[in-house]
Parts: sequence; structure tokens; C-alpha cells
Amino acid sequence: MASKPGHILIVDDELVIRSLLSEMLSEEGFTVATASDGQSGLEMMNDGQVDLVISDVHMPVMDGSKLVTELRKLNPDLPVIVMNSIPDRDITTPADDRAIATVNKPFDLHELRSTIRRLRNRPRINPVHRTKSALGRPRDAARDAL
Amino acid sequence: MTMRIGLQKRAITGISLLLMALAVSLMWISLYQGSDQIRSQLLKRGRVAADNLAYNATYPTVIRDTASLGDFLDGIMAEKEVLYCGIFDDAGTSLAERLRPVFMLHELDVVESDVTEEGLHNMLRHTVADVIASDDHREYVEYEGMVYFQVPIHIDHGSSDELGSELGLYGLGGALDESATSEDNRDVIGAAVIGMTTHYIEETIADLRDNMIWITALAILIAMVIVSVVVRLSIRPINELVVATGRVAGGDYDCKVREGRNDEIGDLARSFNTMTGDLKKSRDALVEKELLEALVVELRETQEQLVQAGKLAALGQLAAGVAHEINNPLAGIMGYAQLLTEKLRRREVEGISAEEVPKITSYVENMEKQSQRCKQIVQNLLKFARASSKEEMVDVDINAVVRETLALVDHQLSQSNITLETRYADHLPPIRGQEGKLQQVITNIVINAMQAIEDRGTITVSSELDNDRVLVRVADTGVGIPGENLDKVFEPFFTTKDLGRGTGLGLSVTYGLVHDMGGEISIDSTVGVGTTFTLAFPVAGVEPQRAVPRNGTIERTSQPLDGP
Ligand SMILES: Nc1ncnc2c1ncn2[C@@H]1O[C@H](COP(=O)(O)OP(=O)(O)OP(=O)(O)O)[C@@H](O)[C@H]1O
Ligand SMILES: [Mg+2]
Repeated sequence: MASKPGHILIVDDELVIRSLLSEMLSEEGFTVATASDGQSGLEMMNDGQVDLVISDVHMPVMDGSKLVTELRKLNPDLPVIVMNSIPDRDITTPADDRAIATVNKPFDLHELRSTIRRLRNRPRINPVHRTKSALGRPRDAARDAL
Repeated sequence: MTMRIGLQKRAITGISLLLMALAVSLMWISLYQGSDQIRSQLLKRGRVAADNLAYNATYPTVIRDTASLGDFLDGIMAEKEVLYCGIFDDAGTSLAERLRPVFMLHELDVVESDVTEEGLHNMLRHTVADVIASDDHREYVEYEGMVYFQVPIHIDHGSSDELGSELGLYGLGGALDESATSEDNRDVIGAAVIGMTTHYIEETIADLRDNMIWITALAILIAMVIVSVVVRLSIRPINELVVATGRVAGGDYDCKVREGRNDEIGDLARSFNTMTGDLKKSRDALVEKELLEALVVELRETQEQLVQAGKLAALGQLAAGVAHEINNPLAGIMGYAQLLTEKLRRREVEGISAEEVPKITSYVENMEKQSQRCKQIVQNLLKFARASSKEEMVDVDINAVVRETLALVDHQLSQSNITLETRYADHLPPIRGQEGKLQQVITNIVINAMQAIEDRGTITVSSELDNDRVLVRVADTGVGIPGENLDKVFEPFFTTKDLGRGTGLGLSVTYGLVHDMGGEISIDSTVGVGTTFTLAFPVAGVEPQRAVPRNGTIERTSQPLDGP
């Protein structure tokens, strides 16, 4: 699948992180939206198209873990990057959820870029087959994706 | 070996001997008195008989009525003890006499069987003749088992006229006034002689003696039985006490003795029981005290662990907070620095000449590097805080851990006049341990070393391989530890530092952590010169106790330690 720029939502309570990431990503051609907590981030999901979410863990109102749970209810396939500021305190993510990646703050920009690329290019379940009956055949979907 | 004679035996023997002596002497006294009495009774009887005979024989003697005299004598002979009796005139001629036939005496065993009738009679007559002839006026004469009584027969001048008329009353009256009649008024006309054998009284005395011996023996026997019973009864509580004392000495404080008696032994038993009770109480108190002390120690250990756990928890919380607070701005700094570097590389920054680009790039890269360092410090802090038993024992490169740990204190050291020197041995084999714990151990020791250096000094941290063990030394040029404190520094709460500066927990926790990982810690210190702490950890895969190195698997290092 071609990696064409898309829509990215940035959720972090730290202004410096929001501006750094929007600066960097918009320069790379992404359409960037920002939110300062999980709750407002979730609300912005309805406002328009979002292809990827980059979220902090420790935030007021709704933290990163809760946001991931809510996002999964909307779309089990949406790529999410979780930024952790306390490295050894891993956030609990579903082990088999391949659309989630974690980076530790402070992150290296190259590392972040490659993570975004990896998530966007990963083999994913074809939306056409995303019915309950089709969920039992992920291999076919993977073959389609290749 | 001397034989032990019990108190009981001694008491019984002593009292028995005393009783025996008493009984025997009593027996002898009574036997003596008894035989004396028997004898004197015999003598009295004989005397009375002789007196009566003499009195009664007065008139027949005067008229030479031998028939009457014979009758009197026969009467006397009725007494079996009398072997002979006779009446003599003043010339010493026998008027009448009676002799007991010798066969009767033989039968009665009064005389020896070889004594003949004639011999006996001759002997008697002969003796009597002697008695008569003698002027001896003793009451009796004893001779060869016989007692002879000789009483003169006499008539009173003043009353001679009454002789015929008042014959019946004569004897009585004569007997009555005899005491009043003086010897001078008397005319001796003959003598009455009675010979009595002492055989019978001797027999009686012998019987008496035999009986007495039997009775005494029996009495002694009974007395001994009573004595031994009484002694046993009175000594038994003492024996019980002796046994009980032994048991108490052996540690049985529940042992009680009967105290029923109302005497000295009862008192002793009572005081014994009181004493045992007191002993038990104090023993219990002692045991309680020991328990209490053990409890205090346990409590201290728990407290220590709690304090340590609390310290760690607080540190963990602090570290997490610090990480969160610092990592966000750090991410900003690093990110923007990186963006700037990229822009510089892409020549997107205007107003900077081409020559200046590398210089500015290096500035920004320096910013980035320093941020990287900050990131490392925060990570180490987190790691350190995480030090807990949750951690698994893993293969650890001790040099790496020491380096990381020293990085944490490096800043603090650079603010002081303390120089830090490090010498790490190359190619150290890994040890089994927990990184967090090792960091904590090294931090504690290095912090102590820093606090021991008053003004300026050096802390030297080195690692080396010693057979199967990896050694880490932390040497300082501080104040040193006095010998008397060397044992105490590992005790919880032992500190020489001011209140608030030291809790005295550092080394005790360190000691526990080192031992948890199978290691050992030792101190070498000279007051005024410095202190060296040496940690020794067994190489991974080697039993901690093994002193023999496994040549071949472990590379022995003889290279010089690398400098700082
Ligand atoms: N390197 C050293 N040089 C001299 N004395 C030392 C050294 N290390 C420890 N000590 C002595 O041992 C004592 C106990 O040390 P420990 O680390 O257990 O407690 P502390 O340092 O007093 O307090 P804490 O470590 O809890 O802050 C210290 O008070 C000090 O007297
Ligand atoms: Mg200390």
C-alpha cells in the first residue's frame, strides 16, 4: 500500500509536544489536528477523517489508556502511537493489537517517523471483509493486502 | 572411693546403738538389784526360821526333849531350800538334826551326781561344827553353795520362873521383849543351826537373768523397728527434698514436695516450694525477656524493611514524577534540536553562511547530546528506584552497573573537591545478581565514602577478578572507621552522623542486599587514612562456596586494570 500523507491526530497535554509534532508532521505533508486531552481527542474523531493517532499516556480528563480503549470501540484497525514519559511503566495494551506502537519520551524523530511509516504500511484487514463472519479469516485478508 | 552412708542409715544405727546400750545397762542394774533382793529374801527367811527354831527350841532344849526338837526340825525341813538343820547344846553336842537325803537332791539337781550321801552329810556336819565352834557372830556364814544360820538358844534370868506356867505365850512374849532384854541377862544353853542351799535362788536368779535378756532383746528389737520407722518417716521428706532439689537443679521447676507436716521439715518443704515457685517465676520472666528481645529484633528488622520499602516506594514515586516532568520538556528540546539539525542539513536556514553551517550544526548536536544524557540520568534514576526483590537474578555485567551508578553521583561529586577514579578490569565474567540492588549497594557505599571525606579527597572504584569471584572495591581517603565500630556499622540504626543526615540504615540494607545475591562485603579501614569496602560476588554459574576456580571456563585476567 502506498504511503501517501494522511490525517494525523495528536493528543497531548504538553503544548511543546503538540507544536513540535504538528510542525514536523505538517512539513512532511500530513494534515494535523491536535487535542490536549483524551476526551477532546475522542470528540475530534467525529469531526473528520483521522488515519493515525499519536497520544500521550499521562493526561488530565481522559488518559492515553482510556483513549485507546475508546478508539478501539470506534475502529479496531486505527493505527495508534502511544508516547510514554515514564519508560518502565508500560501502559497495558492488548498484546495482539498490531495497530498500536509505543515510543518513549524523549523520542528520536527518526524513530517516530519510522514508527509512523511502519504502522501505516502494515498488513491490515481489508475493510470490505470487516464483518463478523470475515474476522475468522484474517489470513485471506493478509494475503489480499500483500 | 568412700561408700556413701545415707542419713537414714546413720540415724537408725546411732539411735539403735544408744537404745541397746541403755537397755543392756538397765538390764544389768535390774538383774543386780533383783538377785540381791532374792538373796536377801533367802537370808531373811533363813534368819527368821533360825530365830524361830531357836526360840521354840528353848524349852525342849532345857528339858532335853529330843522328840519335840525333832518335830520342830521336821517342820523346818519342809522348806526345800533347807538341806540341814540341827539343835546343839552349849557343849556343842547335837541334840537333834535333820539332813536331806542326797537322792532327792540329785533328783532336783541341787548337788552334783557324784556327791554321796555320806560325803554331803560329812561335809555339812563338818561345816556346822566349824560354824558352832567359831566365835563368829555374823548373821550367816556362806560356804560352798550353802548359807548357814546359827542362832544361840538362851534363857532370860528375869523370866525363868515363868517358864513352866506360861509356856504357850513364852515364845511370843520372849520375842516381843527380846529387844529390850540385854545380853547380860541371858544364859546361852545351845544353838540352832539351819543350812540352806543357794541352789534354788541361783536357779531363780538364772531364770530371772534369762528372762531379762529375752525381754531386753525383744525390747531392743521392737525399739529398733519403731526407731527405723520413725526415722524413715521423718527422713523421707528430706529424701524427697533431696530428689526434688536434684530435679529443680535439672531444670524441672514444676516439681513440688508435700508440705503437710507441721514441723521443721514441713517448714523446709514449704520454703522449698516457695523457692521453686520463685525460680520458676524468674525463669519464666527470663524466657519472656528473651522472647521479648527476639521480638524487638524482629520488629527492628521489619521496621528496617518497612523503612527501606518506604524509602524505595517514595523514591520510586519521586523518580516517576521527575521522569514525567523532565521527559516532556526534554522531548521538546531534543525534537526541536533535531528539527534544526535537519533544517541545517537541508540548507533551509536562511542567513547562515555555508562555512558557519557545520559549526552551528555541532552546537545543535551538542544540545541534542546533552539532552540524551539527561534522558540517561532519568532512566537510571528510574532503574534505581525499581530496585526491589521483584527483580529476577540475571547475569549482570558489574562494570556496566558500576558505571551507570557512578553517573548518578557524578554531578554531586563534581560539585565537591572529591576526585573520582575508576579502574575497571577488562573481560570480567558476568555475575548473578539484580541490577537495581547492585546499584543501590554501590550508591550507598559511595555516598558513605563522600560523607567520610571532610574536605578534599579521592574515591577510587575498581573491579577485578579473583578466582571465581568478581571484586568491586570502593576506597576513600576519608576519616576512617575506628576498630570498635567495625562490627557495628552493619547494624541497623548505627550511625555516627548528625540527626537527619544519617539514618544508620545504609550499610545494613547494603549488607542484606549483597547477601541476597550470594555476595560478601568486607571493610578495611585505618582512622585518618581511609576506608575500603570490598564487595565479592561469585561468577555466574559458579557455586558461591567453591574456592577452586573452574579453569577453562573462566578466563583469568592478569592484564592491568584500565584507567579512568
Ligand atoms: N566510608 C566510610 N568511612 C567512614 N565511616 C563510614 C564509612 N561508611 C560508613 N561509615 C560509618 O558507618 C556508619 C553507618 O553507615 P550507614 O551507611 O549504615 O549509615 P549512615 O550513613 O550513618 O546513614 P544512612 O546511610 O542511613 O543515611 C556511618 O554513620 C559511619 O560512621
Ligand atoms: Mg550511609
